Amino acid sequence: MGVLLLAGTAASAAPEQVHYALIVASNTGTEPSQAPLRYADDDGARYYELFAPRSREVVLLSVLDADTQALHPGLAAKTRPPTHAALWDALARLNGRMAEDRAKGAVPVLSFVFVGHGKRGAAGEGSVSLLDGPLTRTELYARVLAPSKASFLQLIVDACDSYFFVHSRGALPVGPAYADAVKGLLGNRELERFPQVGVVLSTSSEQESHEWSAIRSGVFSHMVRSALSGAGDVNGDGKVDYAELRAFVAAASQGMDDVRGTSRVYIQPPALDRAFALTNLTATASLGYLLVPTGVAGRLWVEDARGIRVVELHKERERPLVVSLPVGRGYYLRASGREASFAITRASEVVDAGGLRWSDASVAARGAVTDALRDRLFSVPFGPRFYRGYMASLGITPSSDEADAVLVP
Amino acid sequence: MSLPASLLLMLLRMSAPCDAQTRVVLVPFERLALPSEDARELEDATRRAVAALPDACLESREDTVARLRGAGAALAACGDAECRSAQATALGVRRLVRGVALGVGGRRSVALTVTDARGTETRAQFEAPSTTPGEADARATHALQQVWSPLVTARAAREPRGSRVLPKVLWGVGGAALIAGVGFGLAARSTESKVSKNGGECATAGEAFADCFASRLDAGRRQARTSNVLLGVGALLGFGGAVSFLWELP
Repeated sequence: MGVLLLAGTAASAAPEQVHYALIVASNTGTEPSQAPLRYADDDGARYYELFAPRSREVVLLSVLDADTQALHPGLAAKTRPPTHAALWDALARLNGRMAEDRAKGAVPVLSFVFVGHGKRGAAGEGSVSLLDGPLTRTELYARVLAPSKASFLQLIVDACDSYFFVHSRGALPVGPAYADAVKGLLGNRELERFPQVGVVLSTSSEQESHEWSAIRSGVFSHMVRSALSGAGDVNGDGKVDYAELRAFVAAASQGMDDVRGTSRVYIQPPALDRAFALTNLTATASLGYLLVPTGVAGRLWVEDARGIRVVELHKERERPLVVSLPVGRGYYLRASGREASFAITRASEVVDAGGLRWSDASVAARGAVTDALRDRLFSVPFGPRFYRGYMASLGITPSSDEADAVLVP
Repeated sequence: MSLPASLLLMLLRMSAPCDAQTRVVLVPFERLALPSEDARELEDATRRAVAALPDACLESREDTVARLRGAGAALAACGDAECRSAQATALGVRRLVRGVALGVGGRRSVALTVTDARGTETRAQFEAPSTTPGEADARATHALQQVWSPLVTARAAREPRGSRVLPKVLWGVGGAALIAGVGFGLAARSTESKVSKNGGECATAGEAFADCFASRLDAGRRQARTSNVLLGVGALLGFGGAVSFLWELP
């Protein structure tokens, strides 16, 4: 009997997931016509802060500019330049650790993030820009995906043409639409050979690149990080899966002329497990949490004491929501015309936004394009109602929404 | 308070009728990142803690669920305390207790909101390790005591201090003592007047006159002494009643 009980316990216990992240963020392009980006390194640093508290190891390959180093003290010392050699070296080390995890029965998960320039070459092969040359589709499959020891690999690519920025930088490469370039980077047929790989791609066909200085970030990466912080958890299970991320991005960008949900964003879960979660708030992590209770609604964003907008969302009134935040910082929860300050001082601390003291605040306008982004991004409430409608429009059956059933007898 | 004692108290409370001044409704918890079984466990722990509070008459979960279902499955999502307070009034309850059970960061916790029908709202949180049995009850009780006290204090501050029972009792007893003292005084006076008129009833006692006279004299003295004592006690009690009346003035 005891043996049977033990066997049952072992069978029901899910194997431990061990997370790693490899972030490549490069402001510079490989073509002379590609103007340097301003905030790709900022995005890299913020992805680092997003993944570090929940990962065993995070590698950041980026050259942080002076402003970014000032905003992230000490981070520059942990970075390596985004070169091919550094990338292969980091992959080799992470694969070694993940092989050990597998041997111990754990499930290693690697998040591979690229932020920077992308283009399609003369031969039609897509690539993204590293410091010393392009990382081609062939290299991605042959040297990143094929040899990976990760049980699941999450590929997040936000290249320059997918940004929606305030400041136009003008002369960017004229040629094939970036959607084609990204599709060239990831040939669907080749991707089918890697059922453990999920992809989150920005596929904007914009010919002109913008940066939104209000958030010092690319808009797509801002949405992705907001969703993965917990704002995308529509069914309250503490996990954000690919379908929820896709719906979150669609809701957040629905007000923009430049973005129309599915047509410009390509998000596909791993074929091996379509319900696989990109992030899991239930797991132990050195993070604090902001509870936004039922009744609080509208467009909200959390800025930290450095002025960095960490999370943004437009919440439906009828459900509570929790977002994760790094520990040891002061924050402001902001809404239109008002703000409330709070602090996360220890891991697992939960701050109830319903108990915060709000005060009036002014939001500075920065110009016409900023106004448009400020007014139209996150202009649509995201929650169970949007999610169900969005999934229905795609002909997809939503995953469990059991958390809606509050009155369980 | 131990778990059995809490249960006993809860059962006793359930048998007593609730009124609008003491009725408390605990709305079934919302949950985030937590299985429904864990959320229910935390809700039940909180329910036991509320039931054990001295001035709470907690409505049963079944009644609350039936009431909410009758009202459309859930309370409207209020954005401010004023709206939630109005909900409490509309439901005919003194206090509404809401909670969100969370399972973030590998820990279980509860965020509580207690809304008073008179407009006050307080919040508290507690963590509830799943490894220690009974710990959730203890932490829920501690958290609730933190938010319950201000509500009681606020209510007490709005009402007159005390019910003025003590001065009434003192005056009542003191008045009775005074009346009795006057009665004994009149009796003593009557005895004195009778004895003073040629010995009164003892005039016909013959040889036993001396004994009879002494006996009547003693009786009159006892009546006079009793009267004096009762009048003194009555005066003291009356003074005490006045002092306690002034003390209990708001």
